[in-house]
Amino acid sequence: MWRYIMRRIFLQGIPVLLGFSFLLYLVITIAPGSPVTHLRGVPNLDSSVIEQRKAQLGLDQPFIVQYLNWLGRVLRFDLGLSFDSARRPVADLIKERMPATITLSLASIVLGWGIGIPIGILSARYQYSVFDYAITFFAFVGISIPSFFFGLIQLYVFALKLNVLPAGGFFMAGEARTLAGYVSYLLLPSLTLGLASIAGVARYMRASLLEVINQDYLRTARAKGLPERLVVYKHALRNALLPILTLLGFMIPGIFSGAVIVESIFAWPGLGSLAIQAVNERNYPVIMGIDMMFAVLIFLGSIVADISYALADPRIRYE
Amino acid sequence: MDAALHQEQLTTGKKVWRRFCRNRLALAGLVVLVLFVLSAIFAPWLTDYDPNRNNLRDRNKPPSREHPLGTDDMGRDILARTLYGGRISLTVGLVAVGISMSIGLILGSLAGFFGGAVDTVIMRLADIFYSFPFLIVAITIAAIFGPSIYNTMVILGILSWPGPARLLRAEFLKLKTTDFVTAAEGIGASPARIMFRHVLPNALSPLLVSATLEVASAILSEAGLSFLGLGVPPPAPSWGNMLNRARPLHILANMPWMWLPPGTAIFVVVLAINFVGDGLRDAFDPRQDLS
Repeated sequence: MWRYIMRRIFLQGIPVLLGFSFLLYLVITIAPGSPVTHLRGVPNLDSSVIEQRKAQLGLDQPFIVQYLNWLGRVLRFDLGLSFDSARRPVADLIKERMPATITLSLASIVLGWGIGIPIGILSARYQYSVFDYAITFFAFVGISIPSFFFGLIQLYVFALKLNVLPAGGFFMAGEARTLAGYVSYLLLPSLTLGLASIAGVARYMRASLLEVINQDYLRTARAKGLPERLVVYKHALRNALLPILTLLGFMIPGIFSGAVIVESIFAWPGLGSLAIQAVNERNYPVIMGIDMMFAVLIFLGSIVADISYALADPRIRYE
Repeated sequence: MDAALHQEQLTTGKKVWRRFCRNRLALAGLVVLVLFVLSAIFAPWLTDYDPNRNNLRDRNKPPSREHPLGTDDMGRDILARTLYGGRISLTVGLVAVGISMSIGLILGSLAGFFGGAVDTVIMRLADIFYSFPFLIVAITIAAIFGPSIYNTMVILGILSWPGPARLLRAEFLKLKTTDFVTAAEGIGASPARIMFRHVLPNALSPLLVSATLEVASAILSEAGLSFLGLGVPPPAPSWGNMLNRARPLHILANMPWMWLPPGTAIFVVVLAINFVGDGLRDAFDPRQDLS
């Protein structure tokens, strides 16, 4: 197991992350324009000032030097300084925004699994019932509705018309941080982000349970007279839940990506809104920092999913 | 012999079509999709308005006789913009998938056919692309190269090639060991002939299913980018940038006619494509035999 994890990290993870950072840095720097382009529009600005600013940011050097400098710093856990006038460390900016994004993502994962699994189970137990068809249809709706449209509808209904929930944001200055407050701010964004997961998990749960429900050992369980409830919840469910664990690893990229849009709709102060601000300012160190952060999180998510799969299912051995 | 072969293919196609038709949701999806495509193609005949012409006297008008879906904050007709927006959104979706499928088809075939070092290099590259936080990278590149229709198509296309490449590689590995490929090798067929004539046609049905579903996600991605102001730039209408324009809270609260039509259009089209894709997958599945 340890050998497998180490192999995943050193033979797969590190090369993939290096390749990713190289490609991203390349694309960012070969694009037309640069972070100092806007200075050219300033009247009476000597071109030497622009050159000076470029040198200050290290932009006068060739791409490969810039990249290796950046990489060298990252290996020493230094993400560099932001390009904006405050020149704050990128790590600090990320640290400030990270909790909000993690909170939002976790909340939507909890919603996705907490709602998706039970309705998937019921859907499989009552296969071909009206409830089953309704859930199947709902699952299609859930994966088809764009998060931003669903978010706007919820804003319209709950925040603007019924006026029962805040129209975005996350705790105003001086507002007491109560549990009810957390719920009210989190509810719409996490539901918006989590809807696709609810739908996806429900669909997989249904399919997975239907797959095991007709296997021999379940027929045995029924034959020895176990009530159907026990057959399903005790014998079938344990095996059917396994594939759902790996689903977590697959869904994490989608959740983080979705968070960018959802944060933008609800003015959620997370990494996504920082990312959008950074790309618009061409703030290279911040862009690289955030994108790498997400890539690392996604990679860790896939490892955690693999490990939990192996822990839960003794038939799986990674060698 | 040749005629018999032809007849066999025809019945397979018919079988698939019959199985597809049994799935009522898939069929409904197909009908809706065709309607959307037709309305996008024939947009100029369906509305008299120019989707990009401002009309400052008719700003923010609710639905009426002259403007069935109302007008936006520049006095542009929402129906016209939704119809023409469909042209752009559907085109971007199709072209993006065309790009990713072409790259995936070539690289996946090469990796699956030649194996060895070629396979390793291509699949490691696919791993790298797979580890991308998709939308975040798309946003980064779109912002840096500047929002445009072409950039959107290319970005979405280039970022999604690993999916079809992996699929095709797996199909190649599976088909490579079949008897008919061994036979073709035995009579001295060239690698290119084996690849394009014998293996590829057999790998097309899973590819078609995945392409269908990819179109749905490409349309969603384009809309997402445009919603953030990084996809199709105004004044050209796309469903995503129409939603972007309706984001200010006073429009959201008081002028739902500005954001409901484009949002509903994206939702319904993507739903229809997902139904069609799901129906195709079932229809191609040989286990679902129909007697």
